[in-house]
Amino acid sequence: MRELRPIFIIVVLLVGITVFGPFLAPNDPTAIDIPNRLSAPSEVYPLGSDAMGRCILSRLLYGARWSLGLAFLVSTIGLIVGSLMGLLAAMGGRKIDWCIMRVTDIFLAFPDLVAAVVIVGVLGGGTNSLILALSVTSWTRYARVARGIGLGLSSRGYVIQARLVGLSAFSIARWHYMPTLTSSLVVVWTGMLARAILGISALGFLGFGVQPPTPEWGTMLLDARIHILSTPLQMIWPGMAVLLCVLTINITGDVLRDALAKKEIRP
Amino acid sequence: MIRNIILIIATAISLPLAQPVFAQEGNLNIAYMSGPTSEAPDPRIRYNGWLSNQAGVTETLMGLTADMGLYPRLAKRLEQINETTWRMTLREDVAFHDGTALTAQAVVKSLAPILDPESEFHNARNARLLGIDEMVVEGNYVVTFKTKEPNAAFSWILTEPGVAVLGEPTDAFPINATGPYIFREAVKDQLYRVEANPNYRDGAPHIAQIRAMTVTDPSAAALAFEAGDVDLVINYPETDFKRITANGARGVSAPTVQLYWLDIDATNGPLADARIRRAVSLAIDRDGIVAAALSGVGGEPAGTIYPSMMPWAADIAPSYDPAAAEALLFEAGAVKTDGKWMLNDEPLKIEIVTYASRAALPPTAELIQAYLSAIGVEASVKIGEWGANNDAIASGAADLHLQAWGVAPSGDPSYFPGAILHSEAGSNIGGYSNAELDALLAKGTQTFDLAERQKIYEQVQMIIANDVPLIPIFHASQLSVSNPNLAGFKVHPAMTYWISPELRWMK
Repeated sequence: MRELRPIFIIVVLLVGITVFGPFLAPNDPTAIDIPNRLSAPSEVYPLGSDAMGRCILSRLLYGARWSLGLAFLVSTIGLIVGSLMGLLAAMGGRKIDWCIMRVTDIFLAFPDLVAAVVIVGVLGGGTNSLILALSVTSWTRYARVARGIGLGLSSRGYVIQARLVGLSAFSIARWHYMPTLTSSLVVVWTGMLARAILGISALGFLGFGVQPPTPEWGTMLLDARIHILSTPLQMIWPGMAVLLCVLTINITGDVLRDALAKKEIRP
Repeated sequence: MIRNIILIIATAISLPLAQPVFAQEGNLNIAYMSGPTSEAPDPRIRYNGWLSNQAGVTETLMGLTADMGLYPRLAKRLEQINETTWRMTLREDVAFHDGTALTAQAVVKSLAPILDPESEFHNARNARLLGIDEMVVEGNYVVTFKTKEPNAAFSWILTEPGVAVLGEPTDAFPINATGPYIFREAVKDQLYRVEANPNYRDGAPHIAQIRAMTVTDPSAAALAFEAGDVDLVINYPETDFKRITANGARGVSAPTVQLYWLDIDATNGPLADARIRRAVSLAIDRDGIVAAALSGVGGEPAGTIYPSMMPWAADIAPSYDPAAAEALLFEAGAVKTDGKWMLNDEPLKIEIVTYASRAALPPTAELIQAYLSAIGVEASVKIGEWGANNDAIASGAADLHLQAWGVAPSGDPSYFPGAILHSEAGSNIGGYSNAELDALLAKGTQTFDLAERQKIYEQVQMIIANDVPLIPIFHASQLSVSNPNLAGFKVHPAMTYWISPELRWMK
């Protein structure tokens, strides 16, 4: 597990920034300072200031809570809903399986972001709409994975025996399905977490996300867009934040998957 | 290096939007934020006339000078016979693009469909503003217009681009007009292409072909200009104006009649109280907004609805006085507790709505929110869609709607206050009602003496300043950037004129 150590450190760092970011911010992220707008990095504004003179570092740190926190929430909602639906499909018999899978097929037929934009467009911008839109579009992948593995488990002897002795469906799911499903779902969850960060930033960039003046990385990119030629650093900082987070989480997922595969191969 | 990498990536993204065509001598490529609505957009329908007037294809009977004064354009003169009768004598040297002469009969034939509700070219807005009851032809070059009632705005509305004079369309000239450029092609929401009219009465224009390309995103337009794909950007991003002009591009800017303002829900919530409306207005630092949202170059702080270049503008300076704002809140019964204003034992909350299609609106709304928060008023911002925002104001779900309007696109002062503040006006979303103001607005549309009319609209502006049924924020300037070799381009305050025969390449 030595190869997991750097990843573990980065994940702890990300979680730390999400939880403690606001305490590390040197300035109020919404305080405007017109005379010092668009300033270069300085002691007061370590990463410079935006068009309204707000501290970019402080906005990034506060924004992490929204960008990463919301991504965590959305992907976790997807994990819970998707896993339950997948288990239901695997354990509920053919008709339920058919119904649930057709619903997931319909959801999967739409590109995630397009569907999310439509949902947010109908409901109106804002945090609640954002969470709902991304959650609705994220659960299907978990459902497919859970159902696929679950169907394989259904024919195992210990599952059949558990049914014969009269164990409840909940107990069978809890003790015989979940231990096998967990590792695969965690790997899917890391991938979906990265997608959720991109989705939140994309919706923010399109103006559908968290409403101003709340700092969020996608809306920071949107605000900085018109300064791309004159002060490109405005876009680079939030862009780098999104890039690093997504990259780190994706690598974490890959490493986790490899480690879990090795564990399964080991006799 | 970083900028170059960004430039390459962003240019690659923006090129499909910019419809790249490399500029050649004799051609001019323009980037503009909106485009034609069809393949042959008839100028009389909706706002189609704006683009054809801007591109030099169509002309109106009367025109607006650079200082928003009135001049005869296709007309030789316009005389007022009595309160409802106007006699117009046409120029005799004007021909349509197909070579037929402009006559009084052609004018009547062109304008009649605008007034006729059954016609496919009917324009309800312009028909209402013109208020024409009858048009009588006298010989080849004289038309007498009779209006339904005294209409002091009549001569001004004849400058409206939608009231363009058109000849019979043909296959070769689907928009058969009189301007220095001939309409050749339109691609919906993409391209409007015109060619020089060799028979124009003042001589053929210098530039052979002009292509107005639709680039909705100002940043993409800036990148297309930087890449050399367009020679002129109308509405260049304020944030990059100083840099691009310092690098050798020609920057042209001028104040316009466009006002950024806050519509107010004057019937529900805290802003039903005029003292709180005044307090909100006093708490907003308009200089700060112009500096931050417009980079200091995109406009002027507004104290009243008309920009200072218009003869109707009253001498009302914008005020920023947070202490006076707090005093007014106290007078209105609010109490400050722990730095927050409370009204009727509840936090004083103000919801601001706006939309994102104009780049300056969201940052302006954020700044207003910050200024209100600075005095202890809890304000929030929601970015939505213009129609939905109006619904929110009408239903009491929002208190302020930040938006942009042309206050006098035809030069006449009655348009904006009449449309927004008259108690029976269709666009009076906030429900403001003031009998004195209604009477003044009615009197303003029927008063022909210029000095007397100025006094009436000064009184209108004083009522707006004191009772605050709306809050003016800034008068926008139009910034345009062109190739340094392009001469003769000027920004017109009405924003409806771009191309003139004088426009030419110096090399």
